[in-house]
Amino acid sequence: MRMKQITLRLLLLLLLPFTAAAQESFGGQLHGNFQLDGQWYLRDEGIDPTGEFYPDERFLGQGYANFVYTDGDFSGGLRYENYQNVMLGFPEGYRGEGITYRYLQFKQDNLDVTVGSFYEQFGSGMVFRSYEERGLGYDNAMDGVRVKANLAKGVYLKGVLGRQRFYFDKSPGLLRGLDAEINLSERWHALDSLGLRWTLGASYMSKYQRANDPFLVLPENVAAGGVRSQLMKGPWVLNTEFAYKANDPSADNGYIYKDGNGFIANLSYSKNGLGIIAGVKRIDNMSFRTDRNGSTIDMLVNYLSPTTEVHTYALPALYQYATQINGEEGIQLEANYRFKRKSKLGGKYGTLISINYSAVQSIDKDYVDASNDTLRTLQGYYSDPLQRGTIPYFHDLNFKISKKVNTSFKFNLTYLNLHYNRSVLEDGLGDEPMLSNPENIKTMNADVIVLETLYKVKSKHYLRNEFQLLSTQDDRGSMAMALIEYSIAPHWFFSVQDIYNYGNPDPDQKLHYPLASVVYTEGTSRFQLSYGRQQRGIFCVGGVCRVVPPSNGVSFSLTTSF
Amino acid sequence: MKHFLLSLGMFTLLFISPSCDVIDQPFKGNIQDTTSTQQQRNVLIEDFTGHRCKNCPKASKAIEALVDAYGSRIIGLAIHAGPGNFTNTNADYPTDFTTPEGKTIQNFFGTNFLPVGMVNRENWSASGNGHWSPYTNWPTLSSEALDSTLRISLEASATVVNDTILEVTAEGFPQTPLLHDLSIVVLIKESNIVSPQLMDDDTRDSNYVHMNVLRDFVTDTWGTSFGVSPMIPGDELSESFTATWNTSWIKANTAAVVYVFNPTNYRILQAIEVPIN
Amino acid sequence: MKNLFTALAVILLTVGMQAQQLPSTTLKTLDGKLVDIKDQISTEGPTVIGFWATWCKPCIKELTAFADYAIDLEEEYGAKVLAVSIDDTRNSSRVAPMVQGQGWDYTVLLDENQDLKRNLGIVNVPFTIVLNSDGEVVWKHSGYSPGDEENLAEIVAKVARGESVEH
Repeated sequence: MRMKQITLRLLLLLLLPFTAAAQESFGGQLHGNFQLDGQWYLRDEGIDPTGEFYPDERFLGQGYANFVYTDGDFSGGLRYENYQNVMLGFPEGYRGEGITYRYLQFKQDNLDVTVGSFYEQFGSGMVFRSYEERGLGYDNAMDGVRVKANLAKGVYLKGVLGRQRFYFDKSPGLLRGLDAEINLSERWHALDSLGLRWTLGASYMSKYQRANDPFLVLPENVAAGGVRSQLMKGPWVLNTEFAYKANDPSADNGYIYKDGNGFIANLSYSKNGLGIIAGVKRIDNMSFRTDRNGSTIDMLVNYLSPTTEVHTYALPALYQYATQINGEEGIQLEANYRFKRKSKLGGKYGTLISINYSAVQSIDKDYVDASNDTLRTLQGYYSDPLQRGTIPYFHDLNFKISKKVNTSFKFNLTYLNLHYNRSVLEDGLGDEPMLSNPENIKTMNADVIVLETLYKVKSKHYLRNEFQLLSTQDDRGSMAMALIEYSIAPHWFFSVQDIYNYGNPDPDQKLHYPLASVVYTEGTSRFQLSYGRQQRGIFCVGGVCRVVPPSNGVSFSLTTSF
Repeated sequence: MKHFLLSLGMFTLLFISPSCDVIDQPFKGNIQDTTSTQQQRNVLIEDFTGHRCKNCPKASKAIEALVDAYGSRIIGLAIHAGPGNFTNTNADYPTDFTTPEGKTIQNFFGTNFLPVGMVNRENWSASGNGHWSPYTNWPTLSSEALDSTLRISLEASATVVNDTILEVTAEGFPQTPLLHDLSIVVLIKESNIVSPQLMDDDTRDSNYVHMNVLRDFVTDTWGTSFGVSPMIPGDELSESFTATWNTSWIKANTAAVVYVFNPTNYRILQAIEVPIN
Repeated sequence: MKNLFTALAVILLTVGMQAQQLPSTTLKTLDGKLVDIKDQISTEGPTVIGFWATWCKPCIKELTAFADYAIDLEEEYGAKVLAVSIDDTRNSSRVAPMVQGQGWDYTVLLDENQDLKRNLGIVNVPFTIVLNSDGEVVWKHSGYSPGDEENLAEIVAKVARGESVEH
């Protein structure tokens, strides 16, 4: 008996330090996610007569995995990406595989330091925004050092230094910037007691890129700066921001030395079921990249927020607006109102109505005569901010009503009126030729109606339908779309859809675009299998778009997180 | 407050670069005369273009500006290849400028949009696209190439015999030791071709003058072996080639382009252009 | 023998996987006040945290569909529903008008720097987690299809009753 007791106590003593150590080493958490996409492409002569969109590889696949480890004040992570080869429609620069993102971060008290890769934003992004959008293939991650400090009450400083990602390489130029934000209400309680919350901010970003052009004296250091203010009182919020960029001759602006500026203002009201947002924006020559020869979505330093609404319905999504970084001005008005339950217009469950109006046009541009070489290069054009531009780029007026009729039936009805300037948004035509030949501008006007219904068949079995009609005389002509989706919560999801381009002026192109999908979800994992034909389109997030070429085939997508 | 201002000041100094270059005079002075009696490294600019690509005339203009400045040391080659909507023919644009070799090159280097080019095919690698460059960067890349060391000099002559056969002989003289194999490509280009082109204001110029258009490859797309590692100064490499001559080409406007490159990384060591007699 | 068994059991329990707790993270309320997520969760019943964004239509569908169930769960089990928006500072001013327009009664919190999203390894929204009354994460789900809100309500009820839940 004694022997046993001694052995027992000895065992406990031996295992005790183990226990303590195990708790410490198990103190951190490892999270991550993984995604794999692939498509077997099928040769389809209807959508692709010459076969130019049909990839030689026949199968294209790509995937990535993210890992994040956090333990108290410390965190670190990495991402591995693989493109064998990159799928159609994604930027071609994604070739190969490797670790494209890795960082270590330490946070304590009022200091937060990151070394390695990071994403960051100053204000709305007009001066600096580094972010990723996997669906677009957009990734301008910074690789360097970031320091965030809360220096005094309500004062927040951020400093960044580094180069941007350029696919599997780094940008030729480097960036260094600083952002300061002061929450005045935290510092002066007089404001707080008035119910006012006021934050002011200022940002600065400078890039350096070596210049070796034999013809032009190019600025190697280019700086941009901005100031912003956010004022909140009760249901009102007012956001304003102004940015300025020094001379930055680049491939985007045709190598002119004109400076750039941007202005954004948003006013919103939200109370008692009513939400209203009004926004105005003007951008003049705000393309800012860490490679003056960059194009498309490569190495952009800043981000210009759109004043247009994103549409997820298939037909309006074909005609989305892409922000024109060389110059545009626009307004947006949006109102949402919820009629209360049991009110006359609300019905038993309440009714939601929304209205949105966006309009974007060119800025006033007075081009310097091409014969005056020096001034043409130095200035490019003159722009009066108080004069309205004359070329409409885009407008979107839409109404939506959303209503739950009874416990098994809900519907959404949407009407849109679109005006889409194809010369600008599809062909990338500059303002100068459009100003001299306005009759050559290709536009598209369309009316769209979408009816979406949701019907509860029985517990956890739902049937969702969409009927869309796009009526137009321009571009590809009118189209109709029908979708049937059946979901069995929580695991299964089936859908079949068809888009019929019945109004296409070319009789060979009056095609059907069918698509069928099956999705299986379990916890945080999701597997999707689709088969069908897709017409050419665009995919946009936040005003940044990529072109999707026509394709036909079987695609799959697997995502999971842990 | 003092502490706050001090930290703010230190923080600012740490991150702000005080420089922001504001330029008043954008144009540099005259280009220095770089010709000399000895052969120097030339620049081959492969310009992927299309007659329905409205931004492409600007790329051709960039080549012309460089030829004006540097003369025969800049060799432009317009390869009509890429997306069908830019290179295909129709009633308004009837001439087919595409060639099978041009399409192979465009497909291999992945340049699926226009305009885009390669300058001496520098910076190629199996992943990434560092070998592509927009026409706005050609002056910088050319000036860097022109300053680089010449590793092998070339001489060639091209003659048409009986209006049917083109005979080309090429000789190479290594200037520095070369520790890799060497391949040689010979091709024919023609300039001053008048044919419609879509211009950047979306109008069609039916009297556009196309320059440096790739007409045909004398060798295969990827050339033939010219030399085997190692090669040292004093060696003489030599090859001859024949090809069928197309009588629709105007001899006075044509030229033979000969270039040698490293077959492992496609880097072009030297290119020359010779008139066809 | 009994002592040894108890000792081993105790050791195994501490050495074994620690149930996932929410990391202490600062979020903002719609009034602009800073709060810690750990102070916002329910101590009497389960907590549902739905991650959403103003630009994510399925997220808005999920939160609207779940609204009715949420009211019942709050009354019956003392459950709490937090709608955490991952909109960054550029979009966060759209959150309040949207919440008003949709007519949600949820407690809405802003994760403007996406710290909580990143600490939990979340990449895509909608992403929903359910915590028990001890603040431990017991259920996770990503994406939304119609009917998921019914399933979520069932899960919350089970957690409130102390039953174990599977994914």
